[in-house]
Amino acid sequence: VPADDAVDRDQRVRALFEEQYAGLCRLAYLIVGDEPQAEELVMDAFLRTLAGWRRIRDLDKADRYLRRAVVNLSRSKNRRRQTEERSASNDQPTRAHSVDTDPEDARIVWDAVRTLPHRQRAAVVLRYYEDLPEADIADALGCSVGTVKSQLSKARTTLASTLQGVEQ
Amino acid sequence: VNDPLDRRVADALHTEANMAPDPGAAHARFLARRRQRYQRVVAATAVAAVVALAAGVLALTRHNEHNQTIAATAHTTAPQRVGAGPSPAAGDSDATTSSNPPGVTTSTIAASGHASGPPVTAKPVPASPTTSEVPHSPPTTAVSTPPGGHQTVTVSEADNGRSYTMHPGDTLYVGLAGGTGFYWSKPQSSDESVLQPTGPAYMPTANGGNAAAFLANADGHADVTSTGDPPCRQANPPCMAPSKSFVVYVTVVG
Repeated sequence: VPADDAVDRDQRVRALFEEQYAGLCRLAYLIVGDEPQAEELVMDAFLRTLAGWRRIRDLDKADRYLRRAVVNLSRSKNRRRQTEERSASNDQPTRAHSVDTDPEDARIVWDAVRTLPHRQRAAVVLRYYEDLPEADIADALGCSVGTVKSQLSKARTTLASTLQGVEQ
Repeated sequence: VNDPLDRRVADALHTEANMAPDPGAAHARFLARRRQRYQRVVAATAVAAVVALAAGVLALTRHNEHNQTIAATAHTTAPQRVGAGPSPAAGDSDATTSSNPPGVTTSTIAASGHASGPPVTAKPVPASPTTSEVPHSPPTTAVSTPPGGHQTVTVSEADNGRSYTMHPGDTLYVGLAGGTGFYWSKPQSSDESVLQPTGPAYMPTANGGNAAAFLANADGHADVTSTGDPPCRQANPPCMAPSKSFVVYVTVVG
């Protein structure tokens, strides 16, 4: 690799970290529900994605590759988290809340989201947090748009039912 | 996201996702881990190369040992046949049976000079080293068969260059084992009035072995010769790899 290319590549990697790392960590956290695991997962995603840096033709799409890697890696992380949760007490960190949101309601909804199966939860996070269109969600999940619609519909039904039960 | 439920979910997710990791520290960790990963790959590649090399050397050694074993087995079990019957192939391990006509005794002279089968009076001869060259002068030591009773003398490639003294009626069996990387021509007598080709007709084996039997017919001298060519010598155009020559010197005395 020519020296100029190597320097340029390192600079772009650094810029990618600045632009994407925090957002991807938050995305990963919403899917796996654990901050240290989310950071570890995003680091793995960076290592795996950028290991094939030379194979990525369109570098502007690196964020897309990274998001897809995060979602894929979160499957195994999520499985591990569920196993750990069965044996450990559920002590969630106290979080700061925005002014306009009822913290109690946000906690109830978040707890309901966490009970969703992994794929539905990932679809919900990509839709309602990342605000992605269904086609991009399908790309990140590696499935069809129809499957995304189906997963979101099931998730909404489950969330509505769960929240109704909690409120009653 | 206009539905109340959708809004609630979006608000809850944005509220919950407020972690603020340090990208600079993460980038430094990334560089360190990438370096470690690279070092691991280099080490694993080096180990794999060493293992592959060792396996190759081991396989080559075993292959050579296997070939030597086959050659030794084929040599010590060289077929010896007298009289008519199915034609065995030289060098084949299942061609070790012999059928003697009445009144004829058979003796085998192994390459190392040890006799197998019935006791024989023939003395072992110091072997000249097996080389690709024919000795310029025959060894002075000869193997002689005693008068009275016909004998079969079996010679192989290891007996290259030896001299034998035989009596009329004795049989000389020349078995040149295959699997050595050389393809032997049919052994020929230089003087068929002295040493006459006799049956059965041996066919060359697929792996290059060949054989012939000769009957000591009359007093005199005869050489039995054969040439072992590497397979590429049969190609067109032939290669220049050296051939091997085989010769035994036979004196027939009444």
